[in-house]
Amino acid sequence: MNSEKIIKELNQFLTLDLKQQSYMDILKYHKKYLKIKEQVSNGKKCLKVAVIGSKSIQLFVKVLELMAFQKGYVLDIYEGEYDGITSEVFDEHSQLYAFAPQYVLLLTHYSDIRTYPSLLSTQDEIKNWVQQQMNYYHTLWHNLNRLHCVILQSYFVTPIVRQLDQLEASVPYSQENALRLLNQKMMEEKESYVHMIDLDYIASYIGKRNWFDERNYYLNKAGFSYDYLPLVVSYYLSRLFSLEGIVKKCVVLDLDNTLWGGVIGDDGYEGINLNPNDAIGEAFLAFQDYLLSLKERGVILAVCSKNEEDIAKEGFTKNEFMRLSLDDISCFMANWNDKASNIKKIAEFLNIGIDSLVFVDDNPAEREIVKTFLPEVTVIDLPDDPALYVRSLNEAMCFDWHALTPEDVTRAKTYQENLKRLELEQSFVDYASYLQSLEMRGYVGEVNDHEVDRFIQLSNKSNQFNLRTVRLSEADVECMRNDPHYKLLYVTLSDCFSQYGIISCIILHKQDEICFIENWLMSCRVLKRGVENFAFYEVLNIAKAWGCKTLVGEYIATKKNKMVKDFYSQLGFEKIDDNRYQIDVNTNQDVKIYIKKGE
Amino acid sequence: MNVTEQLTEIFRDLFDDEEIVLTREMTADDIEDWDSLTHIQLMSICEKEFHLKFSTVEMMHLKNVGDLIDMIEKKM
Repeated sequence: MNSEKIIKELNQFLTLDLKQQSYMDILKYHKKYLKIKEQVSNGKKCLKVAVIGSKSIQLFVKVLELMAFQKGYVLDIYEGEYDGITSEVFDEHSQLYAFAPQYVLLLTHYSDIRTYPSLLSTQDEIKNWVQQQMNYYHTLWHNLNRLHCVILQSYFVTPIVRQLDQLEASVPYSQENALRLLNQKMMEEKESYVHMIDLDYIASYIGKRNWFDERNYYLNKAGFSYDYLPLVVSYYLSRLFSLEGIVKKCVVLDLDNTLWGGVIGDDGYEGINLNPNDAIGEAFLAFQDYLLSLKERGVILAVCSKNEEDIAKEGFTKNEFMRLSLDDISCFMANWNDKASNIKKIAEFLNIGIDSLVFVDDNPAEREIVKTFLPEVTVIDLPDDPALYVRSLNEAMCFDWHALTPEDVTRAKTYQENLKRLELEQSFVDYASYLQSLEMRGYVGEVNDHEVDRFIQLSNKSNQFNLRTVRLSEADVECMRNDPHYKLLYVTLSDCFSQYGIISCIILHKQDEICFIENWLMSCRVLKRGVENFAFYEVLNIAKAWGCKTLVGEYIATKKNKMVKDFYSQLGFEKIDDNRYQIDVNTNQDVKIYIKKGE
Repeated sequence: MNVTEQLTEIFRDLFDDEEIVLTREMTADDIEDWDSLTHIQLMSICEKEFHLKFSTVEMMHLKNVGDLIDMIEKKM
């Protein structure tokens, strides 16, 4: 078969949701992928990933490779030896260290633990047992940390076979409880560069009767049924992609038969079904409650509906059972234009990438249009039954962010406040007096423990205002914080409407007389406020204090960061080559700044 | 289609080789890509295609393609 035909077949297969495909099909296409890997790798992002585990991982690795490729990543994979966790991690001369992976995927199994608390153990003995196990993992993590890699490790799945039957859940010394305590301890004590994959959740989701496959265990040393390989891989990849900055931020919602039963244009605001005493009405209410819970954790809600705007809004303002209010919706788009164009407008309005949107609509025709014209949008194939809407959106695991920050929890509020700010802006004749009226306060500080999570999150999520798009792992940050030649700066902003928290990150690198700006990025929520000029002033001060003579910045173009193409020129830097710019540290800034210094 | 014919298609598809002609005496040594990993796949595909389940004992006792055909026919 010629390679063009293989590529075509492969691409066809990759349009499917692979976690729902059989592992046999994935392996079949993985074989095809290997044949044309060289040809299709060009221009793709590459990652070095090691997979280690005590059980067989050979098939896991193949499924992983193809599923990563589906999302545009070509993996260079190190496949650990069978039962290799201890031997490879604790031997610094092992091939694992020579390979130097960026990510280490660790698959654990309850049989990794050789001894469990004996029956009738006391609380203290059990506590000691947990600590002993933790010591092993702490040492393991510290060893791996020499590679400055990110570790994705599974929690233990508690076994289906129980020595003590129901008593397992009621006595502290049972194997089940011991493993639960260990999982709990792991959550409490894990290092910042360790991310846990909740394998026990996946196993319960599947049902442990199906999850465990004894025949496969004895024949192939598989830790769980191969039927669930694609699902397990999808959980690991979901976390990995989130660390790589591929995240969804906003749900775009249809209205009729998505948020409520019926068609508001025909039935009127009192006729749509949100009746708490009706099974269908209740299902729609539950979906709205779920959306509110997403909003609470920082997911932006937007509406995109084919309706008259006034009538559509009556559903929110006049129906007595409606759970969502207009204030919960950061962008409301109701008109008769096609949805693909409207979705583009929503992304523009919210200042986020189209690829960070999730589209929810009960109408398969609308979904097809969005899939065709905006393939970067995640489209949820809602089931016909509204009772299953919540589950369907949740199972898509769109918002599997790797951390939750205070900025996430206040985000929806900020978008609302932005609308008020917009009103204020329009009431001023000139922009300067508007900025003045905002009473902005800003602060530039060095990253401490408290700011690390947000610093990494913002570094990995920002695409547009991002000069070099340097993605960071916890280990990278740890390393730079301990190096006196680096300074990691964060910028906070508040105004009369809201506290934004950390909205900008800058990394400076002292290279003798040059202070190199390793990266400079900012959240698009605070564009055109003078934050960059405010921060620049502090950057110059640091460079001077370091004894540097010149400040050098670089712009590395990506598909998304055209916005800051002329950033350094605008700050007064002169161009030294294609991408790099420099400026004397004693330059005088004569830009008026409307941000006052303050915490 | 009889079991041998259906099995031939499975083999051709799995090993990506349209030339494969099965014989009863054939073993993993006769097909280049037939290793322990593809063997796992082969077993899974057979179970799925013929709607049956092999026990651990049955899988351990397979010596050649003939055994596989007999086993499938017996269970169908």
